[in-house]
Amino acid sequence: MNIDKLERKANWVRNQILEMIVSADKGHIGGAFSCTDILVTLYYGGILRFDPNNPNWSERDRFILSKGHSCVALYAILADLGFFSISELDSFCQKGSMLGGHPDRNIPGIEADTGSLGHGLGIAAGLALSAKIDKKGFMTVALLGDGECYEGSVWEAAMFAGHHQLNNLVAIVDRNRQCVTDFTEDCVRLEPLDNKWRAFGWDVRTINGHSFEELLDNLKDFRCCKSAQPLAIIANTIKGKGVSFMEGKLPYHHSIPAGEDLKRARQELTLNK
Amino acid sequence: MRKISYCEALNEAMFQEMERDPTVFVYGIGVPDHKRIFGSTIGLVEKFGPERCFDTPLSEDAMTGFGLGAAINGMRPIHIHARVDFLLLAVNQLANMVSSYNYISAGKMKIPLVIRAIIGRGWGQGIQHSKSMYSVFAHIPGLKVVLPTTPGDAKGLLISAIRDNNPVIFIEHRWLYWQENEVPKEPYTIPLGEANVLREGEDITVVATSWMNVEALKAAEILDRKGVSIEIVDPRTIAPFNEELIIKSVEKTGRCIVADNDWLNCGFSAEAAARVSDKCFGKLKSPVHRIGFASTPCPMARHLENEFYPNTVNIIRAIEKMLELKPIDLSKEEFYSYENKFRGPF
Repeated sequence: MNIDKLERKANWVRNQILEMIVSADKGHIGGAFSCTDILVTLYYGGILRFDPNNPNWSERDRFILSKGHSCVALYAILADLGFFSISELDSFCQKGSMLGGHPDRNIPGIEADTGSLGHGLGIAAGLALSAKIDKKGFMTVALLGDGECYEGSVWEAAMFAGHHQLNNLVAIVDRNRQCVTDFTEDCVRLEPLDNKWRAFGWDVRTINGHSFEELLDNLKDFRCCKSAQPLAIIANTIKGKGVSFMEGKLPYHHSIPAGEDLKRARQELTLNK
Repeated sequence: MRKISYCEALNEAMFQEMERDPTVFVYGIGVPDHKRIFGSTIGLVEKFGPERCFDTPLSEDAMTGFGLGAAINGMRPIHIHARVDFLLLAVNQLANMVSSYNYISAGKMKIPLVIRAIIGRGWGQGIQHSKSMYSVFAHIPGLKVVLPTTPGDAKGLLISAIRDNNPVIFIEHRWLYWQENEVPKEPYTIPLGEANVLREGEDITVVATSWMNVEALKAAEILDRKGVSIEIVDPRTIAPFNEELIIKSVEKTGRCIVADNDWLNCGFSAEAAARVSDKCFGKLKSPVHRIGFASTPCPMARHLENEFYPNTVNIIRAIEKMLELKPIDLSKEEFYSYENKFRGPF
């Protein structure tokens, strides 16, 4: 897909996210919006290898949504790609639905049950190391929240991956600068985040996580393994990206827009189409 | 006397203790944010400032170590977890450090650390937001574990916990937050380690923890209309666990059901049943029966979740079986749920 198409796709995904969350009256909208462009790049930008008709294809790349609470964005993409019926999206978080508020392996295309933060990178490192042992060519990509990087287990896994030179592993940090209740730099400073990853033995690239040019430029060569080290991408993003009154606002970690706000959110996302 | 909610009682206890003692401070994820731990930390940051009420990152183990460091340095920290499930990330600190510091220092070090942790349900919250876990903490010598049920207990026990020189895990069930009852305005304490007879009765003793007291009370109200008299004993503190009142009650009724808000295997219900069986042997008219969570992770789907959690009906059916009564018609009864909230009083 070219950049114009990726932008349109991202807009479609954000519309789906809004409607799913409003319909269910639950879900984490801010973090889903902040990582939408990253996910769209991975799935529509020719980065990840996958087969919707064969979700367990052994050569597929493994994508782990470690910030599992943003799954609503991934659900929209997986449905659109044909991993499951698009009509499933209407059932998000409803009684009887397979699409819960956090992802699990019963859903085609989901690699790991996530939600409890700090666990995805350890699983991803295990997948990446096993690929090396099995001499498999697939890549493993984990998407982490920046607030998630407060968990010590993230750094335990990072140290392990750096030591084992898992150059088939990519960690993308959705750097929206907010955790559940606060701005990260007010809560406990994460900066300099890039140098932390570097010190743990990772190659690090810091990019604009809403720029498809930068996302594509920095992900397109990720399979070539030019470096001996795992790759960390710090993607600077905006929580709530796409709806002006949600952007950078703490309550939109998991608030649900209603009334006039909902009308305005729909308008803003429509105008962007 | 004025009535306040369980949530307001918790808030008032912390407020008054922070006013009284400048070494008391509150920290944890979301403590000063807009939701204020379901409302229980409202007003603290405004009154006492960000030095005594502050947000922390998702770093549970390190933040528990921080609490230990502050406590052995003369402070009285209150660490709050909006979900007990993630307190498990700090079990190394709790089991290997916090619980044993007093012991390994030959009693020289005092650890006045309170950890408030919220348990219980919304609905459909699944495996990571639905545990109780208090038996795990009660299993570890050196930790006190408190489970207040009423607003009055919430205030009096929390003040006691704050003033205690030992680490206290303070477990609050989310569905108890809405209930209101009379609570004295002035600060007061309820000793840790004392049970409470919530309802007097003659025919059977129900030992209930936390939310299960609400379910037991409802069962007692329904069965009372059929002439069955239930005594409800709330242990309130499960470590140290003082069984005295429970034993006294079972000696009177000769029958005992333990209704625990947790899994059964190796849980508090097993401890309570063992003590009753031990101390009341020969006086029991039937074996002690236990009621608790189904032995699975908590399901997400509503109908399965309803099967997972023990409730009033389970208690009534168990009592009927124990007393060899015919099952009564419960089709017209209304039970508590996420939608039909218990608002008290006991």
